[in-house]
Parts: sequence; structure tokens; C-alpha cells
Amino acid sequence: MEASQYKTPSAQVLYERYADMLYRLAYAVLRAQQDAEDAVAEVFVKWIAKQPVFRDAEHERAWFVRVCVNQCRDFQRRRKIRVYTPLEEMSEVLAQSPSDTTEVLETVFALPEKYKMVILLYYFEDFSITEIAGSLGLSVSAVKMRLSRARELLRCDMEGNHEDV
Amino acid sequence: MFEKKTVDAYKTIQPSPHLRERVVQLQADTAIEETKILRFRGFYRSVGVVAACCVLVLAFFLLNLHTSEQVVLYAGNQAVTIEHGVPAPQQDAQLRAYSLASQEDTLTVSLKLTTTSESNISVDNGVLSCYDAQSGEPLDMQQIPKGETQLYWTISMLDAQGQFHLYIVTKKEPLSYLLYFDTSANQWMICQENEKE
Repeated sequence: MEASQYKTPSAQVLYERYADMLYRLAYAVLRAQQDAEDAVAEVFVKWIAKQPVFRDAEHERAWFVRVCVNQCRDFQRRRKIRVYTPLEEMSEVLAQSPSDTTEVLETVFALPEKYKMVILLYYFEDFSITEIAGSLGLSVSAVKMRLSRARELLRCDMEGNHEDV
Repeated sequence: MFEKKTVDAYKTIQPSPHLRERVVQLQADTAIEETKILRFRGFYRSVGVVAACCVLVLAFFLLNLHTSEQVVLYAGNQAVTIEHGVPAPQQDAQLRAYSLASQEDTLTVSLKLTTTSESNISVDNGVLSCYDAQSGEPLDMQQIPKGETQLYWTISMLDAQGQFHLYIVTKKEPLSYLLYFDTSANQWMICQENEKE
């Protein structure tokens, strides 16, 4: 499909489509609700300001994810935040979830960012490896490598706590 | 790798409703900002157009001023204009005595021409001699340089009731002067006519 044939939806439609996913990713990185909301708002500010032209829906989604990830990095760099939300606060966010689920998510969120992002996109956001590669600007083999190492790390972290991560 | 309940729990992480309001507000603010910017751009564009026009007019004026030609023909101390004729001074008697045109049946009118560009001079009757007013060097009638030029226009008195024309052609415009005998003033007069046809 040519770029000119894909019509970018309105901000409202894009919000419905991506805001929740972007917020989850931002929250996983920044570990603070307000910061995550600020990061997502910044993503939309960038979209409004740049009005990028997308080839297709996949290109559009990759753009939003990539800008969100970069935005989170900027936030971390600027605020020097390396704060990890205590388990109690995490439980507050996941009020209705069982505590064992919260612990699993806490373990995932505690992964180094480069591993955490591929795990979240692949297992939680249903991205294919190719889509992750496109979104994060990585090669397919690099994404596979990160997924493999992330699984290993998770296995080590969860050892002794849960058999089934 | 992960249980469905873990994925579902992850999906419960959602932004507050305020985020939607923020984004909607952002877009509205951006639209207002863009409108303002467009208005400002429109204003500055208009100012720019007006300024460009002013510059063009000024440039045209200056260019025109710089290249404008001035041609003034003097008869004695008076400029010959289109409004009225001025007495045409004759070459002084002493000079006439030594001049080839000193015979009684001829009239020699002394004129001075000042121009800011090259010109070419001709007469429909008689003989015209041109000299550089400063150096006295004779000049070619077809190629009078800018500056002051002394003209001696000799015509035959046999045509005393006639009218004689002198033409000055510059790059800008051709000018025509009429030499005639004014019977009421009992003297030769010269005036500027309309532009040479």
C-alpha cells in the first residue's frame, strides 16, 4: 500500500487505538503513573506536531511504540529516575489482580529495559518478532537474541518462587 | 510462557481518564496555536508583500532617478522651454567678423546644450557647428557626449520669414526646438516644441 493511500486517523481514534498500550509500556519503564501519563501525552504532542505520514497501520503502530520508548528514555535521562515502585504500589495499580500475578509482573518490570521491552511487546502486546524489530529499530536476530536472554533472566529470577512464570 | 491471568493483569494497567482529556486538549490547543501561527504568517506575509512593493517602487524610483536624462538648451542665460520662446542670441559681432558665416545674409545663433547622456543633434535648415564648451574641441553632431556643448547654428537670411527646427535626440526622448522671427518683438526667438514626431 502506498503512503498516500493510507489515511491517518484522527487523534481521538489513535488515542483509542494506542493510548492504553503506550501507557502500559511507559509505566513498565518509568514505574510511576504520572510519569507514564506524561510520556504518553508527549508522544501525542509529537504526533500532533510532526503529523507523520504512515505507509500503513503497521508502520503507524511501530512509530508510536518507538516514540514512546524514546520518550521514556528521555524522561529517565532528564529526571535521573531509577525508581522502582514498591510491590505495594504495584498492587495498587493491579488492584483486582492476584498477588502471585503481581509478583510475576514485578519480575518482568524489573528486567533491564532492553529485555523488558521485547518481552512485553512479544508476550503481552502480541507483536510479532518482525514488528518488534521494526518498532525498536533492531534486526530480527537481535530481537530473537534479546527474547532468549530475557527468558533466561526471568527463569533465574523466578526460580524458587514460581515454577510456571 | 505467561499465564493468561498474568497477561490480563498486565492489561488492567490503564491510564486515568484525565489523559484522554489532556490529549484532546492538546490537539485543541495545537489547532488554536496553528490558527494563530497562520494568522501571524498571513500578517507577516502581507507586511512582506507591502515591504517588497515599497522596495520595488523605491528601486524603480532610484534607478529612474539615476538613469533619468536631462537635456537643457540655453539661449544666452535662459533655458529654452516649451512654455514660451526666448530671444535667440546671435554670435557676437567680433566673432562674426572672423567667421565664414559673417556675411550679412546669414544669421548665426549661439546656443548652449547641457545633457546628462549622449545625444545626437540635427537641423532641418542651415549649418550647425558643435564644440565642447570647456575645451572648444569640435564635436560630431551625431555623437554629442554628455556635458556642456556650444552650438552655432547658421541659417540663411533669405529665409528670414521661415521657421527652422533643431532636433536633439537622446536615448530617452527626441526633442524639437523652433527658431522663428518674432515680428512683434522684431527679433529671432527660439522655443521648445512638442516632442519630435
